[in-house]
Amino acid sequence: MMTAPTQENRAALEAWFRDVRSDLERKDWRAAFGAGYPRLNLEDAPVPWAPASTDLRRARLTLIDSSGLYLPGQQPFDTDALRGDFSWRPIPVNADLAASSLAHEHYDHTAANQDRNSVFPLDRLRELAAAGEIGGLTETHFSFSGYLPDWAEVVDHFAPALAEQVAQQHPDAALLIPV
Amino acid sequence: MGLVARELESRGIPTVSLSALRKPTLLVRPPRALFTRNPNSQIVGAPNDRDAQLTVLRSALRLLAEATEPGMLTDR
Repeated sequence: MMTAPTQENRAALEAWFRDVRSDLERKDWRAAFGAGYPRLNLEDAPVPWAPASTDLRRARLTLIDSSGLYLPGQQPFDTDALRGDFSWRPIPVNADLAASSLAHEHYDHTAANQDRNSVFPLDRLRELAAAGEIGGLTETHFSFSGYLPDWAEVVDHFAPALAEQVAQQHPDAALLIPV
Repeated sequence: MGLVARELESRGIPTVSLSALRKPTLLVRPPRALFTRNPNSQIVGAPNDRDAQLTVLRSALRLLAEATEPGMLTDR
């Protein structure tokens, strides 16, 4: 189990959301996050550990990134949500990345618009699988929009719900790419 | 993303994470993290630089296969 944040941690986060609400509504990130954003600190918590196979050539992987990538027909992420959009989009292994879009206002999209693999390297992973360097890829991969300042919601609901979806893919390991 | 890594790992799914931002990663401590020297907007590598992207991915996969305890590695 993940170490739960303390009530003091949670109270500090809620106080920050109250204090910076107007900054967040104006999308003045500098003002909001300059005002003592109470990051979750797990430096002293035990780190969970699942042993991985040493034989990558047999490992099936799931890719999870936070670039805010979505496909035609999928709903864009809500970039106006003050606490973040706590959803994800399933990305089929054979998805055409050139047809995808991005919804995430907290990084420069210049590189990703030239080549989605700079943030969501599904083409590269398919090449590694085809070359036999990894065993394969699961049928579905995942993207979410990584602006999620409400870490309490991430701990309580988002991470468990996403992990459940990933587990249903039965991967041997997951590659996580924060953007 | 570190919180997702920890949740997956606690369910028995091994993870390896890339990181372009040292400070938040050190606070959340994902089980295996590879610090890249790329900006987070192109964390895997520059656009259309297939070789650079593959180098980062292979480094991450090596960390996945070889790490025997929680920790971080710096690429290159």
